[in-house]
Amino acid sequence: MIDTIIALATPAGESALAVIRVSGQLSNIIAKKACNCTKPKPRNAYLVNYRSADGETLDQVVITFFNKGNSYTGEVSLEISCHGNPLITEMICKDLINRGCRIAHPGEFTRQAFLNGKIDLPQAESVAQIIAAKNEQALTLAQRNLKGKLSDKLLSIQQDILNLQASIEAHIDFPEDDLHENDQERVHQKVRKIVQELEALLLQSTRTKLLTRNIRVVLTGLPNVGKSSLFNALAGKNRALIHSESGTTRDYLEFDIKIGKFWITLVDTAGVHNASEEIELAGIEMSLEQANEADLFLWVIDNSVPHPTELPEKFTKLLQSKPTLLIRNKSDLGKNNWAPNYNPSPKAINISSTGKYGLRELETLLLEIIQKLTGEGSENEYLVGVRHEVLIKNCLDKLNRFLTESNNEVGDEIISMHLTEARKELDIMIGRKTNEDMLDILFGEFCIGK
Amino acid sequence: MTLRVNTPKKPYDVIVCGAGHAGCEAAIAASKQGADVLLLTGNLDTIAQMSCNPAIGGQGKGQIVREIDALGGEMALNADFTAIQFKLLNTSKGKAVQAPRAQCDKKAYQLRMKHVLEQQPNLTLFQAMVDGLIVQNSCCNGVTTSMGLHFYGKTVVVTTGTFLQASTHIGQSKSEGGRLGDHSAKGLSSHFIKHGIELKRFKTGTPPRLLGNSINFNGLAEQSGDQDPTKFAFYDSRTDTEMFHVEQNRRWPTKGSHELGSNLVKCFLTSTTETTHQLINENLHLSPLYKGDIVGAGPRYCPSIEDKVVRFSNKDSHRIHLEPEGVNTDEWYINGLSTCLPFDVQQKVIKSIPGLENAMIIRPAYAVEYDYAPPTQLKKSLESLLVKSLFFAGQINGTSGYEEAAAQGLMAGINASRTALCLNSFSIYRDEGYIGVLIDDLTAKGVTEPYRMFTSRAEHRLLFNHGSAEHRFLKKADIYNLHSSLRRENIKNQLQTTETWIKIFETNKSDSGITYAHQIKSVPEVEINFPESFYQLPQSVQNEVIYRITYDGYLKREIAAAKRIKNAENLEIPSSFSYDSLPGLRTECTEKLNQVRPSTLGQASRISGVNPADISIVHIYLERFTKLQKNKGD
Repeated sequence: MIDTIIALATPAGESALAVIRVSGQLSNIIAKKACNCTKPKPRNAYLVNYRSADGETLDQVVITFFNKGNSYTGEVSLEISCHGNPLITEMICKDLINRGCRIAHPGEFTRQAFLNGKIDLPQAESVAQIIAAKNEQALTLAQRNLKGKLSDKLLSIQQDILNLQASIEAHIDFPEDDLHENDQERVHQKVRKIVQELEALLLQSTRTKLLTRNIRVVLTGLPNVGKSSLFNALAGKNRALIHSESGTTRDYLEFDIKIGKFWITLVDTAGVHNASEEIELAGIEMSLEQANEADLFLWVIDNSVPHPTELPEKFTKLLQSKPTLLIRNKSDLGKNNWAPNYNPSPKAINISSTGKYGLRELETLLLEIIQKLTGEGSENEYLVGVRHEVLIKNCLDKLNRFLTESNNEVGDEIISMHLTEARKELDIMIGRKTNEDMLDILFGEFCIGK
Repeated sequence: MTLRVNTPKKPYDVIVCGAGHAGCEAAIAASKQGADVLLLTGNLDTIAQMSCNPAIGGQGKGQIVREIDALGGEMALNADFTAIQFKLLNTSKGKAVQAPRAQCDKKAYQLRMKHVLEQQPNLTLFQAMVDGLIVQNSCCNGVTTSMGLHFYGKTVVVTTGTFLQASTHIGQSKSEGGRLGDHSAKGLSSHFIKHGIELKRFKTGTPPRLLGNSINFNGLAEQSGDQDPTKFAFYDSRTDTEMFHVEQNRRWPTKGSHELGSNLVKCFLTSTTETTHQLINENLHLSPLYKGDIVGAGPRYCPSIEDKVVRFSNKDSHRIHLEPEGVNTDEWYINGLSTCLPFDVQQKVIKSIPGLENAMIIRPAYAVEYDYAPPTQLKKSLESLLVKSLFFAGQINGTSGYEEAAAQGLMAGINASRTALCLNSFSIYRDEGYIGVLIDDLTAKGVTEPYRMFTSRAEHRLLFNHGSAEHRFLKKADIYNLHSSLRRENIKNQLQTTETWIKIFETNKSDSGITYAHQIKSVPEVEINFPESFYQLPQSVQNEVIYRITYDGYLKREIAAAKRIKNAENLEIPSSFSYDSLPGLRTECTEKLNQVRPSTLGQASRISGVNPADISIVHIYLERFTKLQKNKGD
């Protein structure tokens, strides 16, 4: 018999309600013995008292029972909604363990669902991503995957490869038939098109990462330009130590804020200049590390004075390689309106973090950049997870080998092998296409039969 | 040697029913294993008959014939010695998929094979129609014939070809028979069904034959054979006696004097016209294929001309090859014109084709419908899962093609004799050769149309180049005694020479300053000056050395891939393992697995309709099952 597993389905901590999920054979017995509810109607809610095995009433709960095959996991299941007090949930969980259940391993509910054929592999992965999704957009994408949109896209690519292969195999296996020679240029065009589609998916995977984790916004600039006061203004709390002596922020500071529907980690770093003190040097090194991890930069300058000096070259390069917003701070004290002389020049905004002006405009601008960065709103959005990313890269690798080698006069059987291998990577994600499928296309498309 | 009739106490080791391409190989292989063999055929004059195309080999098939030779079979020699035109296919597509093909003299092919059987020690040949099986306790121990004779055998190999409950169709006219003018095997079908063996129907067809002197060859494109023929059999490892075992006999042309086995004839090419297609479309309603008189599925790779015209209506012409049936006859095979339209339509169709305006049909085209037993009812040894000691080979297993039949015959023959002699069974795996792919496809996947080998069916076809067959099966030949010790010794030496030369070429530099291996991979081999001693090697060794070096990287990858697959592949599924209680397995998939009962996870993964997700479920539970079983044992 498969173990009955339990887990808290809602976040730990205090809340109005908490849900404990039970999946497995014991669900029936628990409904009957702990909740005094014999033969509950599936998918009906019952308000009952939860009694421990010792006979003590632990809480008033609402239970919902699910039949085998009709639950999330596909197993007999029970959902217990209790009051969201960690003490109560802990007592109920302990009692469930007493009654023979065990705590589920991470992802085990989804694994059961997969094993029971309730969801396919891409769907299982979407579930993990729904849970990990940091914002609504990621949620929409994950839900779209759950409905098989990514599978559909991959299926169509798989079909394209299969079609190509059928035309190559037809010539290999039926050399005496009167078939049109394959036009290599056309074959290449088709492969290149597939490569482009896969590359587009890969691009999505970069976005996926942004959607499933916080976006790192790094404040950088010369010392004493007001990075920390801007950080505080955005964070809304006096978190970073503000001091007019330059070089105060020697370590870096992080704070999570939400702008629009995006979760952002603000990172305040030490100002960069040609430091002399050892501790500052270390801080600058740290700033560079942080800058490398950034998704976008807030480049803060002091607008009240003429631009004093350029940043070290390493930083200037980084600023040009990632989305950057130039923030002319202290604009209430002067407007020199400096801009860097490279193209395209970053978007600039005049603010005063202490005078609290321009902050709202800054947030709007930031949101715009993030939306662009995450590709929100474009039609072909798919949530591409890490596993998909690896498989798609492998697949691309095989297709690129196909392209180089078919130019090098190697045999058709070799270049066809690269297609088979490319297909195999897709098979892992969405299920296998067999040789029979290829033959179906072959016989459908080519008049075979010497 | 006496014919042992009605001697239940003294059974033959193996009784083979049918002497087509499967039956002949089965009988020869079994007797070579040391078994006492009886071969029964309905007609001694049609032994090893090429009922359709008078040719052996072709893509996928040519490689099989070479493998048959490497396993001690007869087909390769028989084709070589009776061939009248040789051609190596795919010379421009890559060496891994090159395949030998030969037009053969139809009658010479039959006569030579008959003579091989007549001379084979431990083999008794007898003309009799088998009409029933003798089965006791689900074990087959003999057959009955239409004359009322009983023959007893420890094992029985059934190779009924297209003859089981067969009917031929020409337009409306329908008659019994597995070939035009021949009988049909009756009685056997009901015996199979009685013992729980399921039967289904397949259909195949053959084109009309024309009289050569009524064909106007002027203006038709000629197709000649290769100057330097690629033969099917391996000769460098054979002794003269092994090579000319029939030819040594006085009643057969002696060695050297025989004119067959060389390029004697030309084939010709013509094509259908608009008129042809119009005629076919107008008369489609008269074809039993379109009227629904034929229910069995036919092969998609060998469609009738009416199928081609209907399914590919955008093509205004289809190729027709004219191939001679032999050197002592003027009968011509019209390749590409298989049909079952009424005879008068056939005549009109022929006349619409350039060169055939005045041609005379001397044998009409027809379709044949026959029973086959879905091969998922067989073990990998080709023994029935339902009736012990009963083996099936050839078209009865739903295949098509002389080569596919012969390969199965060889496998069934070896296994039937080993069963009779109480020895372990013989098998070939998917990563060893096309025959392994064939047997695994049949027994694990089953068939939906007459099964033909395609190179694309083999995952590791790069390892299966036709020239390496003898090397590939050397170990098997050793373990199962498939060749004389002298031939095995020679193959061993050859393999060693090959390896040595590969090393030499990988290390030694040519005059161009780079290693020979490097050169082989970058320029055509004719441009390379190899060391003089290399040219003294047998051609087959030279070819193999160059092949192995050219494909070096790919071959290593394939071998590694095959090994990886084999690990999961070989995970055995115990017969006590039940699919019924596996959560998550789709019902459709459970049914398939229960029906096929694969013996390994690898086999399970190749069953159509079973996808990787299903396999991972089976895999998880299989491991769990094995764990539990082990715990029980502890």
